[in-house]
Amino acid sequence: MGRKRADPTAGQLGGIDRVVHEPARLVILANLYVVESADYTYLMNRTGLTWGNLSAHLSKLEEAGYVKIEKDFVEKKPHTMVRMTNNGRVAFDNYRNQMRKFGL
Amino acid sequence: MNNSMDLKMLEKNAWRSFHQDGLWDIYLGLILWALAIFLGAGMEAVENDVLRLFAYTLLIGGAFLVFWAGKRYITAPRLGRVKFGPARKRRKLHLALILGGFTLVTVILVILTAIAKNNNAPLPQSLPVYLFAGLFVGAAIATIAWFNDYPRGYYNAVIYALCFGLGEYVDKFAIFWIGGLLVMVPGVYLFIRFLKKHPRSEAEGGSG
Repeated sequence: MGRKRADPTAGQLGGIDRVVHEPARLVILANLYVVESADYTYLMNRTGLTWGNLSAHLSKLEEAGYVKIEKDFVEKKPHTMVRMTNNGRVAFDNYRNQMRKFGL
Repeated sequence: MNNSMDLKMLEKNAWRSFHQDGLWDIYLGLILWALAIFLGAGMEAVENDVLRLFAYTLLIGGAFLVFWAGKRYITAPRLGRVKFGPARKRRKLHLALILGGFTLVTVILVILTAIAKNNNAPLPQSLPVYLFAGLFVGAAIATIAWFNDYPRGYYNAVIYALCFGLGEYVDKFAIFWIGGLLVMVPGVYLFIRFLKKHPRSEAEGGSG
C-alpha cells in the first residue's frame, strides 16, 4: 500500500469540473461566454460580486486556463479586460452537457 | 443556466443593459426640442442657407454632445466595458448599412429640394410630403430599435412619425416640444434610476 499519488484530474469529481462548478465562477463564466471580452466593472455589475471576490475567482479561472486577463492602458489609466479562452468555452460547454445529463 | 435559451437571454439582457441608462431617449427628445427651437426662432424662414445650416448643426450637435458626454463620463464608467460577440457586430454592420441608405435618400431629397428652390420650381407642401417625412423618420428609428433590441425605440419611432407627419395640421413648434417631452420623460426617469442603481465606485478608477 503506497501513498496515494496526486490525481492528474484533480479539481474534477465524477467528471464534473469543480473549477466551473463553483457558483460564483459559473456565473462569471456564463457572463463571459456570451460576450467576446469584458472588464472588471462590467463583471461586477453582472455578477454582483465585490472587487476582491471577483479578482480571486478570476485568478482561479486564469490558473485553470479558462480565462485570459489582459492589462492595458485606456487614456493613461490601467484597464483590465477578461476574455474566455477556447479551453474555457470547452469546459463550460462540457459542464452544461453534464448538467443536462443529470436533468438539471 | 443549462440551456441555450438562458444564455441567449443572458446575452440579450447584457446588451439591453447598455440601453437602460435613458440617454438615447434623452438624445432623441433633445433632437425634437432642437427642431422646436429652430422653428420657434424662425430659422426656417432665414434666407441665408449657410446660417440656417449652421444653426441647425449647432442645435443638433448640442443634443449629440449631451448624449456623448453622458455616455462617456457618466454611464460608461459605471457599466464597464464589454465587447459583444460576432452576431452583435454583424447586426451593427447591417444597421450601419441600412442607416447609410436612409441618409443617402435624405441627402438626395435635400439636394433635389435645393435644386428645385434655386430654379424657383414649386415645392410640394401638401399632405403626402409630411406623411412621407413622418413614415421615413419613423421607419429609420424603428429600424434602429429592431437592430438594437431596444423595444422603447418603437414608442420613440411613433412619436417621431407623428411629429413629422402631422406638421401640416398642427403648430410645428408645439408638436416638436410636446413630442420631445414625451420621448424625454421616460429617458430622464431611466437615467435617474440608472444613477441610483449604479453609484460610482472606487473600483472604476482602478482597472474597470
